Amino acid sequence: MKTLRLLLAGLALALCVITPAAAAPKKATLGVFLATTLSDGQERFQYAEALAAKLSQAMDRPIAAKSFGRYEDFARAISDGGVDFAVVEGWAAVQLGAKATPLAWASRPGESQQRWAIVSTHKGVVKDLSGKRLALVKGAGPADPKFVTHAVLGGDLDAQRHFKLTPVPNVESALKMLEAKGAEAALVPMSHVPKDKDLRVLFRSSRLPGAVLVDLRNHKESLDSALSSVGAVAPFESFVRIQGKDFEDFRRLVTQGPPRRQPVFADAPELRVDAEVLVRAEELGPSLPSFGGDLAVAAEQPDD
Amino acid sequence: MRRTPHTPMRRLVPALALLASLAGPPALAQYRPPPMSESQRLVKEGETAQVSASAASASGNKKEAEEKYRKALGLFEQALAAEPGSVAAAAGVGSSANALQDWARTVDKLKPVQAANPSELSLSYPLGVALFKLRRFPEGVPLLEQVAGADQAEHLIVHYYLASYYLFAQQGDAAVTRLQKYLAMRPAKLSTNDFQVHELLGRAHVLRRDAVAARASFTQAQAGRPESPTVQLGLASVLELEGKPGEARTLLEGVTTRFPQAAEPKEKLARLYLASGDVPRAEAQAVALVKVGATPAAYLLLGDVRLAQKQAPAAEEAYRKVLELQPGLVLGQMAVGKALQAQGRHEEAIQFLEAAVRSGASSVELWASLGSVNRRAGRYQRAVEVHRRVVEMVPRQALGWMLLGADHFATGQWDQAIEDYGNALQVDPAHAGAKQWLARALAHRARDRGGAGRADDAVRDLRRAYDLDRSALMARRLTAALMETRAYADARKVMEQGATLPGATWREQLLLGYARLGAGDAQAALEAFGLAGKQTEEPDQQAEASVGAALAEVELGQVDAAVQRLTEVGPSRTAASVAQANLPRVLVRRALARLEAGDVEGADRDLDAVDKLGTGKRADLTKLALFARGLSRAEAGRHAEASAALKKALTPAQPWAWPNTRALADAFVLYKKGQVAASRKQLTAAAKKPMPGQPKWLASLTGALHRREASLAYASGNMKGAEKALKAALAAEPEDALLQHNQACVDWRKGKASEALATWRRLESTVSVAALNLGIDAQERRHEPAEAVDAWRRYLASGPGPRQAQVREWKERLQSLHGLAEPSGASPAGATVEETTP
Repeated sequence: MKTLRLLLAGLALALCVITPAAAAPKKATLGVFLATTLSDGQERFQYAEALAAKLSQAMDRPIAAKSFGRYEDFARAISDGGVDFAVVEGWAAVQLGAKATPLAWASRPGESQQRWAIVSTHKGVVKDLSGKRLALVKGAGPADPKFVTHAVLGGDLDAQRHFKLTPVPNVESALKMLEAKGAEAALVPMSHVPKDKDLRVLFRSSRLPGAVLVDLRNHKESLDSALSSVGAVAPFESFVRIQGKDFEDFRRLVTQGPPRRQPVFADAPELRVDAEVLVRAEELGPSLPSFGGDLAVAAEQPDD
Repeated sequence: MRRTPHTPMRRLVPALALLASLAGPPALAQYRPPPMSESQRLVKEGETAQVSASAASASGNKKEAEEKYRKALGLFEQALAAEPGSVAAAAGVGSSANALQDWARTVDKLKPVQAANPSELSLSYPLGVALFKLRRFPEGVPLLEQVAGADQAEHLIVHYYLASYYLFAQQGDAAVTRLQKYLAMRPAKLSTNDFQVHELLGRAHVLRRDAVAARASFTQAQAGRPESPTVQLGLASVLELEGKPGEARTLLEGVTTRFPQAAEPKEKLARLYLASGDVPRAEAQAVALVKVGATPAAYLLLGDVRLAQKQAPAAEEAYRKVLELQPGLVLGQMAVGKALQAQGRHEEAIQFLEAAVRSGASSVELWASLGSVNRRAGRYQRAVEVHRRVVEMVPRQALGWMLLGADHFATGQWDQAIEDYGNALQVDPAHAGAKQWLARALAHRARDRGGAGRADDAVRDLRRAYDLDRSALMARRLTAALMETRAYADARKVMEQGATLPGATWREQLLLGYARLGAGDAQAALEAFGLAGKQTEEPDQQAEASVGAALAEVELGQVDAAVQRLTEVGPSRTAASVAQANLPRVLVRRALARLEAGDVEGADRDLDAVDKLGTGKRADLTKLALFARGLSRAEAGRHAEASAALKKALTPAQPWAWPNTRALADAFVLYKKGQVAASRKQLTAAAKKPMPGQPKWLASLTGALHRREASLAYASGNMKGAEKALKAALAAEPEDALLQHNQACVDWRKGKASEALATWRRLESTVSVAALNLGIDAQERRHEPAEAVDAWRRYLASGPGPRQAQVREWKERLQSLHGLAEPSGASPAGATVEETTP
């Protein structure tokens, strides 16, 4: 172990020495892993290429695009350090934890957040699917069931207990799984629910964050400055910077679930000012004109 | 028996006689009248001569009668000389001297004896008659009244004398009394002359202004007799009294034609022409009258006609003729003075009248006239001197005081004028002129006092003036003065009556409006201002009424309408200045009212308008506007700005602020900020000395602070703190449903769920959040989604609230997870597009 550490330190030192001497900036890698948000491999590839081109221009450095079709490939690339920054699903960004710094949301036109649906070929309600297979896109490994239970089902149903979760690589395979009767239900974004198929939407989630741009290798500043000039890259609109604690709230929701509902106080109406209490009423009375002129008398004199 | 036995008897009888004469009562002694004195003897002889004189007089032998009376008078005078205190002798002198019409002698001889024997009618009667004949009425009339009071037939003539005096003195009632007495007492043989008495009665009734009785008397005087010009003259007076001067003239025109030599009807007719302005006809009659007889009355009339013709020199000539005919005639002297004044010859007039006075013509009228001439000539001091003399001459008459009042009135000496007219009223409480001019003098003094800042004194004067002169104008003055002293209730009382008096105008209604407004009755004020606006056509005056109405509307809470009126005043400068003085104040007031109602934006708009209008030099109003702005900032959650504005507004202390306003305002801002402890500290300080109207709000703020403290503690999970604060709040308002509900929330958190549930269920109909909490309990603690959905449905149905979206999401999630559909027939509460789209 010690030898390995020393070797690594040496390599790092060597890199540091060499880097300043390099004439061109090092090529950065943009990873795109959007197994649910984008509909198929082609779209993911095109998006990755287009975004890389735009970023390259904006950051004035060569950027290579890498589109991942499966969670396993993406996870390996991350752990290998082969990706500098990436656009991933929201709950996948949560799973990345401290490794990734979320920077901006990428959303489809018209919806900053998206709803999820449980679709099924069966009739009935979610409760009736107890013990049935739910095709679930593998987007974040261990965080996937938590995302379903906490975020999609709002903590009102434990997905792992209720369903038999069946991982699939992406949204298109989830739907195919349904067709092939490999599962009784599937969890997909509302935007991917096929309208012409004989599928029922049994459940719709509330709106949840979609894709997010994360920095994996300390590019936060250059990315921040580049984002404004990147603009929209189909099928997404321009990136929107993450404000305040938005992402942290989402992270907490996915990891811990929604807070337990507590009884709420009934609010009494706010006390308002009362002018008469603060100001002497008579001082607010009308300012009457003077009637001195009405004391006038005629010039008439008595005479005999 | 011829020879009576003498011896014992002769001795006994003289003894008894002696005894009787010594011991017996005098009555038993034989009466023998004392011998007559010389005076008595002379009286007796005088009486005999008098009887002869009467007999001669009765038989028409005037010469012999006079001779006998002279003899009698001589005898009585000798008698009186012999015994100066003799009543009988004096009475004899009086009756015989009076028979000889030697009035002065009667007065001379009888006065001392009558003074020593005031109840002797035999003296009072001749002396009274003599004084009466000498026109010494003030001395004679009381004696004649004494005689008349005895009702003796022999003194019948006294009633006639007195009646004619009372007619002369214009005392109608007294004249009527005497004439009626005369008619009742006169012997039947004198009844042929009753027609004369009836004529006099008619004249007395005219004096009394009793037209019906006067007409009856004159008609009786004329009945069965040839037409009498004097009775016809009386009937003309009756027509005049009845308000028919035309008919009176027609009657007299007939009389003067039929009796061309009758002077009195001519004079009367001329006077009627003068009064009706028919000067040419008056002149014709006056000229004719002078031709009938060159009497003082004729020339007096002619002079009056010339004056009416503006021929003052000719008038003077005529008046001087009067004095030639009757030197010292007061009417003539006064008339000359008048004619001289008419020519602007004031000094001559004064000199003329002064000369008349100096020459002994000491009549009240002359002195009065002299004083007034001096006044008109601007010689006020002399006027006052002369008129004081009039007061001294007739202290029991109002005349002198009235003249003095006029002198002081002319120089603006109101204090003295008021005193003079007051004295006149003391002498003659019903004197209309004294009342009128006293009221006017008081009004003058009140005006001066009002202008000098002595409003209370002005009010006192005008109250007295209004008591004397119940006119709309005087009511207006009094109301104005009362309003200057802010005595609005009194002002209102006065003008409620004043505005109904004849001659009241829009102005009285305007003042009534302001008086009612000042007295706090804005609704009635608005009605008065409405009437004022309707009672005038002048746009300026209508504008004044409209501005008044605006001020009333403000008080009635119709502030928007008032602001509209005040911003579109119209042409009147007065109205504009009233509007200017009030508009910023009205806007500040509306801003405060809007803050009370929670309309912060509206309040800010009003305060912006105040800033734009400016408050002129009204520093207090500027500060008040800033204060209102501070409160609006506090309501809007801009606490720092609020605190700064309130601090600036209340530095230095403002007249419109209570001593504890600063502490209260700070407490309020801190409450809005959620700084409960600091707010409570300020509140405690302010509540040490609560001002009128504050206790309720102070209690409300105390309660609100407890609630806020409970909410903050609960939100931070501090159940102990929440419970403590709720307990304090509940101590003040144990029945408050919200507090009970919130206490149940704390109970639930502390594990007392069943108690909490019971409370929420009990309160659900009044506190909608209770249903929400019932749903939370069902889902979180008991895992009963169906029950939770039902409770939340009820909550959502109770109306909009800040938690509706969240709860709807919860409910719908549970519904779709568990297949809990809406009850049939119930439409999904608040379903929106948002939920139906992906």
